[in-house]
Amino acid sequence: MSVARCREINARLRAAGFKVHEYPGCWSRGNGQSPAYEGGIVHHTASAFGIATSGTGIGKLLADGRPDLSGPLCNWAGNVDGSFTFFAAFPANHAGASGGRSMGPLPVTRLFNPRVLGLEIVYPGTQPMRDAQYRSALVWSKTVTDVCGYSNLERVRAHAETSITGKWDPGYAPGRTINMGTFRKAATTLPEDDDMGNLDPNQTWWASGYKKAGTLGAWTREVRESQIRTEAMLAADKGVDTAALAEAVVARQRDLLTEVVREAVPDELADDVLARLGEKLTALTPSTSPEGN
Amino acid sequence: MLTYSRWAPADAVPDTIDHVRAHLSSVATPDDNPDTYTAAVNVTLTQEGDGILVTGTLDREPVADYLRSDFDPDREAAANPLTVPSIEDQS
Repeated sequence: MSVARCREINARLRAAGFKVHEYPGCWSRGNGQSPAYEGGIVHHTASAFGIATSGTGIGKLLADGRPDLSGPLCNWAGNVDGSFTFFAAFPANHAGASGGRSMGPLPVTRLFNPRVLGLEIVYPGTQPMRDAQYRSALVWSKTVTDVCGYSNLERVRAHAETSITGKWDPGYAPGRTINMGTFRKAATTLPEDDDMGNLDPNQTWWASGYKKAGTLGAWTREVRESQIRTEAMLAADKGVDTAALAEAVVARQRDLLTEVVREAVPDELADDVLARLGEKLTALTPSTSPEGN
Repeated sequence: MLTYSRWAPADAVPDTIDHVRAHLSSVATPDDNPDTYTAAVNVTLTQEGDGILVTGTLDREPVADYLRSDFDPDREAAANPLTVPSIEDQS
């Protein structure tokens, strides 16, 4: 039951605008157990922020494991740029035994890995994950539960919630786990919060321009990430003419965003879409994920 | 040879040993039986930080169709179709 479900999950992630890398061998990789997926577990890698693709150290670790723990160590990785890397369609060694403090509807069992897909978010865990990673983890969680978890977000848990050995991932500070109640609530309400979800799928322009609109969603996130990087740079470098640079960056973003929207939607709606996107981008909290506030 | 380890705080070592034994047995059996090779798993305990690293080894190889060189993902997908509507069908 693995290949079809994982293909579907990847198809939905891509349709939502996410890049999904496929690590070599992903469609036949697993730990030897038979899959019976009914939910997902979210982890942090306890490594540097990064992108776990083929040819990287963290990618090799997640695919092949360590001397004392064979791979795969996850099914997907959540990369710092908001993309995913798909490692294994079959069970991975990530969850251990279950029976921790908050199982939700997931089973208490000695053999938990065959029951849950694992997302390893590539960040230290001792500081908040990037906004792009938080956002992608939300979409991954909703997608996994829609495909193999009865559309019940309670079937996505933190490793800290299910572990019997005191794990605390995914974290935002040493020993501190992100607020999973907030996380699940955000994932549950994702369609209503998403710019794309506000568009009427019955309009003919929407049906014909679906793929472009998906690109628009991805572009919105990219713009925000660019803003965050710029803010960090401005804060770090006092020698920069901050006002001029900020104005240049904002102008460039505005031009590119306008260009994409003009391509994706008809003229009579473009101004309204641009205004709403501008409001949402302005309202976003800079540079920290929700649990880090 | 199969090797599998989990770190555990002191109060969770017995449950972790059970998990390590069951895990290795299930990996080595075609029906994922957690008990078949339980007794054959060699367990070592190593102090690591304020807990114990439980390492199990089993002198077997993993058993699963998807680990065979002739495994065909398309055939597996056809044999186990989705139980939810595909996004491809909705577009």
